[in-house]
Amino acid sequence: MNTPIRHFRVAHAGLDLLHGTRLKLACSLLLAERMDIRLQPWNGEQADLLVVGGDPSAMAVLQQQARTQGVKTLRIVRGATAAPGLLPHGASVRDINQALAGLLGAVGEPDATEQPAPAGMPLLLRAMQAPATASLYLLQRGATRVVVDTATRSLALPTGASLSEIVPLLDDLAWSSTPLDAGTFQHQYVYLLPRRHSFEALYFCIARHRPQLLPAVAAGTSMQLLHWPDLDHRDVPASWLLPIARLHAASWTSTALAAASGLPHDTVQFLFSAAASSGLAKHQENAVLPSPRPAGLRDSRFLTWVARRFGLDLQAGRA
Amino acid sequence: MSGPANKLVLVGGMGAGKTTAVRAISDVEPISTEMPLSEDATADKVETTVALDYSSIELDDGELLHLYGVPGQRYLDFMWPMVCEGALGVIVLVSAGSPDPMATTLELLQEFSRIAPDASLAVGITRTDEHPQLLIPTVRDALFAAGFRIPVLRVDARSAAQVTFLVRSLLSHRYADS
Repeated sequence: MNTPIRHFRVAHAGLDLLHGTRLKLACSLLLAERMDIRLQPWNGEQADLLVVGGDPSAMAVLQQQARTQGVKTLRIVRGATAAPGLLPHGASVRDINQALAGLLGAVGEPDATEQPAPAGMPLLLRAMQAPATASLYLLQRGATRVVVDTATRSLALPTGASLSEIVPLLDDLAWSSTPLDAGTFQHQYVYLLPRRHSFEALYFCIARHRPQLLPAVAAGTSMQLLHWPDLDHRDVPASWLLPIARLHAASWTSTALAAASGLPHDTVQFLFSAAASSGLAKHQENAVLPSPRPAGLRDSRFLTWVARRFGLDLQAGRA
Repeated sequence: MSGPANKLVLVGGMGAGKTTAVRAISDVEPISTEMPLSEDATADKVETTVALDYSSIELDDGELLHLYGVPGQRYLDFMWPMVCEGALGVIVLVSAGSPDPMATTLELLQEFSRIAPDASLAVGITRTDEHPQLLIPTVRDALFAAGFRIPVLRVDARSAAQVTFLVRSLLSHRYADS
């Protein structure tokens, strides 16, 4: 199975023509490591790595700027000995390539407390997990085009295209990914891909149609929804709404929620996975199991009738 | 009021889709008070609701759910308390193309949560096909910041399936929160 391509932004400042050219070559060779590099002049922000050279005092200022932004640096210094983050003046393409691979390899590595992404996670889902800076990626598979906008946590799709048409194609290996800048997106793609769908809506659509693509949530985890999710009527069956509402109202374990809602445990686990992936999950270490709903509420019987008229079974899961 | 809450109220500004939504889920043709728009009206429609829409839905045992579509314009606010008495839910419909959908929604939610404190609330954003850039989480998070933690969904008022889905969400929310 192909390792998905990772996208990076490498900034440069103070390099002479020789080192600037070698940096370009070193970056292009990283594609062999499935690292796609976008090289740009340093603008003080939005980069995964800064490569600096030239005057030592200017270099120190730039390095400080980068440190403030949390951006790693690779310095090219006259008379230096090669070390992590440091190369001597005259470093070869190979030297620069290896230094970049080492430094970028550690960028964006998941926090130890986070659940690792499953092996072979689809390219589109990986693009959605890119750092939440203003990043746009064009994903293409044949005539199918989607733009992932990590800044607004949304996908841009053509008019008439639905998420449920994209989801079955997600793990196809023919997808390719290209970073876009905002100008290119505005000029070339906004009119082609005018529809916006939130990441949330996609995750719940995946939970319905291809749940195995979502990272599983550990059994026994208690969870509550921070907000009511952005749901599409085509992707969420009526039987999911009550468990979603319960998860919105209080913290549950999947086992308890499955029993209360009369849904298969696997289905509730898929809802938990969608909630966790979409960032809507509020985990609680010591969740209190919600007490059974008090009987005899003023409109409970009437509400049940109304719900039934609209195709909802509020009694599901009740013995 | 001693009986069960037996009204569902849809409220929204001009062109939000109240009349269309009421019609989409009604068993019978609603009683409507639509009048032709004057020439200088800006919405791309020829009629607007000047009082209210009313319909009913028959439930088990012959009980009725009363369905109201109420204009959200301030000059008609005298009818809001009457219509909302005994409401189990209030759905605020707002057009994504309205000048300030967020402010409009928030104002209506604040009014109706005061007038109908026992009713559950939900928001339906309409006309997103004409204004596809609007993202539901953006609206929802803004409403949450103002104290409303409620379902917010996009809805095509012409689609019975979508209006039904919004009503189902409201009912599930009410049941789980009670």
